[in-house]
Amino acid sequence: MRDPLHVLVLRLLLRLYPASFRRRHGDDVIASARAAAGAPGGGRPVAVLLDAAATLVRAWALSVRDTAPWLIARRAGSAFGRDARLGLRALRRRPMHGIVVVATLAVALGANAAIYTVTHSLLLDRLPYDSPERIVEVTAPPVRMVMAGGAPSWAVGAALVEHPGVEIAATYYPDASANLVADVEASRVRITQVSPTFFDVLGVQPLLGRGIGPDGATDAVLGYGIWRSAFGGDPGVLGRTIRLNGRSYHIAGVAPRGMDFPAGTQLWLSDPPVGEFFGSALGPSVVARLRPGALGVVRQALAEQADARRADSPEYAHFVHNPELIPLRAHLTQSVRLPLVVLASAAAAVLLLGCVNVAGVSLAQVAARAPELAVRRALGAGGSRLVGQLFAELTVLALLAGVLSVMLAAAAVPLLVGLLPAGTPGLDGVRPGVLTLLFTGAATVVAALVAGVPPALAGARGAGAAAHPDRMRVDERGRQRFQGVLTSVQIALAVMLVVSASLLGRSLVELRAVPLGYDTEHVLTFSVRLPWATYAGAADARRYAEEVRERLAALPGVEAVGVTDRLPLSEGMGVGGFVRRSGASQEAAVSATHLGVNDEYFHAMRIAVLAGRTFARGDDASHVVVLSRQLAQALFGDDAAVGSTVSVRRHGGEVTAVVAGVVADTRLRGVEEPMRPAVYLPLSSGWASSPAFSVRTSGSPAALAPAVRRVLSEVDATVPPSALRTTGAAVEETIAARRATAVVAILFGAASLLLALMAVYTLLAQGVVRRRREMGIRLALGATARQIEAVVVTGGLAWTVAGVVAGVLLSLAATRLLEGMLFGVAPRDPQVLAGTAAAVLIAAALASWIPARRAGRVDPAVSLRET
Amino acid sequence: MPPRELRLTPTLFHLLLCLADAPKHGYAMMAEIEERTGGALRPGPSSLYYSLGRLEDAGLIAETDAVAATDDAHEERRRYYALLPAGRRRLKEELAMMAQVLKHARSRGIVATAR
Repeated sequence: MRDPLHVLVLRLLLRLYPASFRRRHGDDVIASARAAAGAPGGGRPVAVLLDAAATLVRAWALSVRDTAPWLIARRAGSAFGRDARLGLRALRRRPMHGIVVVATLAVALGANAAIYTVTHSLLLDRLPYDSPERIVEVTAPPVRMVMAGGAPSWAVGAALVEHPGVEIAATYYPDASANLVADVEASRVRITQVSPTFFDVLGVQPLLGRGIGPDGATDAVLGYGIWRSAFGGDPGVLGRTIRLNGRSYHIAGVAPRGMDFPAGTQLWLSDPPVGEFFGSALGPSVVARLRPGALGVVRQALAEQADARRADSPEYAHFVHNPELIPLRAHLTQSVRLPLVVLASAAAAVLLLGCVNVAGVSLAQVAARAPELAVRRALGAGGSRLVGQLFAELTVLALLAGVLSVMLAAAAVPLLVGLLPAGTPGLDGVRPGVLTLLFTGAATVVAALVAGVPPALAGARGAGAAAHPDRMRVDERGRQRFQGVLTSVQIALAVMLVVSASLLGRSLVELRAVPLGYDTEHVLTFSVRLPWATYAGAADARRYAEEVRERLAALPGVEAVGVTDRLPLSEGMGVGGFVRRSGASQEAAVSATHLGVNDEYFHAMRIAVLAGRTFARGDDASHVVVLSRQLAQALFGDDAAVGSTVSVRRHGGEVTAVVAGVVADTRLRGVEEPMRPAVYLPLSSGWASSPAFSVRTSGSPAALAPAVRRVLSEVDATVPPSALRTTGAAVEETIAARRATAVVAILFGAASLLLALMAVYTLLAQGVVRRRREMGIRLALGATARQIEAVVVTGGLAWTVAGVVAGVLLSLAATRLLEGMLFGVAPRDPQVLAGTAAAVLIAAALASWIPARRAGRVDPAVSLRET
Repeated sequence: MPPRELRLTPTLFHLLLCLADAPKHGYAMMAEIEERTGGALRPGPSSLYYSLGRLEDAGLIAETDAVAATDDAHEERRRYYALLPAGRRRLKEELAMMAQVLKHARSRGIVATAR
């Protein structure tokens, strides 16, 4: 069938339509026009064509409206692209400049990205709990004793649960552990016994199962990690029986991934607390979910109640503390918050320094390119075009640096995590994610602005002035001064960062130098927990410890095996009691830590014997004790302690014993904790259910670990060792956060100092090139090379001194942030401040000396001939 | 770019009205509008499809293949359009407004009352 004429014309008209319209509707329009042409009336050809023409205009208008913003963006983009291409071409001529700029920015941005990644996951990431801002940990909580199944237990006090601002509260008992015997070999797991409302307070739904029921005395909820490692992530694990210290529990649920509250918990059990899981009897901790905005009123109510209790019973007023409400996130992150804030601030300072450095280097480049820019200007490039081009150049470099920095961060994050204390919650699988990319993108833009705008503006202005030689000289001097200021800023930031690094480094050195009183190199220590079911009394525990000791002593490479009821730096409270000279009044008694040890303990730990002897086999507390130096001093002063008798209050009774010897003080609780007086009693007089061992080795203690494990599993396979490590490793663990901060701060300090020195060098080297003629004239007039060198060095020194002074002032303000992280050194330690200032001045003088020497070597005969 | 609120021109309004009872193809709507308005409104093929495109972009109607071709078997496959819920809502609002205006006009005696 042939189309009528108007349909053919319509076809032609359709070709003029926007392509999108043609593709979408073209065939339909023709089909309809055909159909209309076949209908009675012939489809009114003229009307159809007029309609097509009118629609043509409308279709184009619509198309432009929808696509115009893109077109504009593309136009602007192509201008930027042209600038960037020009910039890259300029860079190809000076590749070193580009490399230095990209490296500087990439390292600075990478450091920020890495620290941001870790900080975010620790301090800002979503906690796996429902509206965590409403969950609070209650210290010194109001509790009351209740009887549960015939055993005493604790419930949250009425002051808290009945307050209208409190939605729900729960008790839990942290710091407990037990020997888990599942299908695989026995392991010591961290457990927390909780009241049935515990999971409701946190707002956590178990991944599997129902969690702990209201009457589920044998209910156990597995942590995600242990479910994966010990049960292979088996979804059919519910209802299975596990044994903890010989007691049976039923798996009632699996906690979701990320749930590990209180820190490190691997298994949750129902309360009432089981005594044998604890190192010592403790009251419960309390966690509560508040109603929105109720924090203030609840805090107020608890304080008032504490006041009332103090007023009621003045004799106990001393023991009544004000309960504190600590928001969950703060509670979880309090140990790492300060180091991370310090590192994030330091990283920001490094980035600022890097940007200023790049601005300075680029400014120098702009000066070197003044002739090129002047030519462009003369050829008609407007000031804004020149600014655009210079800025585009730096933006390209900054973007390149941004991309590199993400890779650097990806490599640096695991290193950073490795430096942080093991077991910090929230560190699992931290890696740069989308937020890190966004953060780095934003930081890159800011860096490009800070680093790129000053040189771009200077370049455009300089190019304008270049047409007029006198104005150019004035401008050149202004630029030089600006570059001097930038150099001073860098020196100041570098001084601040170096001071901070020195303070943190010095703290670390001081910590390491703290005398611990025991050996940290050739001692392997571990503890065990004996289940009460199989080790009912002291005799059983003693038999176990004796067998382990004998077998360990028989291992090749073992020199001595110490047995104790409490190792240094181990968890738990330790037992204390009063000791006094026999015959002295009760008021003269001194509070001391009680430590039960065997005869080889002092030798195994290398604790120095200062006077008398240590224990021998067969000693028991009814006749001998050993005192720590501090305790001997406190009780006897300068009198001889050995041979005197003391009264030791222990287990409610009091024994009188002869002092057999005095040994060196030891740090039991931590390197930073003050030493406490200690009294050593022969272990044979009171066996604990959790004996600990210290094995002195002639070779590497770590190499002995497998043999120790084998011995233990041979003696009793259900009793695994816990914290099997060298004493040195235990010490390192306690200072891991400090070490991490110090290491990173020192890296930052070194990098910043290097950048600042580069800036000094660039500033002077440039001045020397510019003043070659002047130097030539001076030399020709009889100045010595040494005098010329002095002129150059002093010229740079002014900016350096200004920077150092500003840096010292900056440090005085900034190091207050560090106060909580320092040990054995004050935040404004004059030695550190003066030392840093002097070191930076000397380093800057050395950096100035290189260009100065070049100035002194100028050959007047050559330089005077240069135009 | 979020679609702007589409202003209903007479053609657009009549197209929505056409689709209120059943999905239809372009030519059927063209004929229906002409008949309903007594030839006062005669959208040509170009503006018809231009209008349908705009309604479709605004999310008021959509192409549908739910209708079997009931027309002559030798006809080319035709595109059917159907009213979307948003289109039906929009049509109702428009009609309600018209009714309101008409009621107002009648109460003032501008237009004769309905028989």
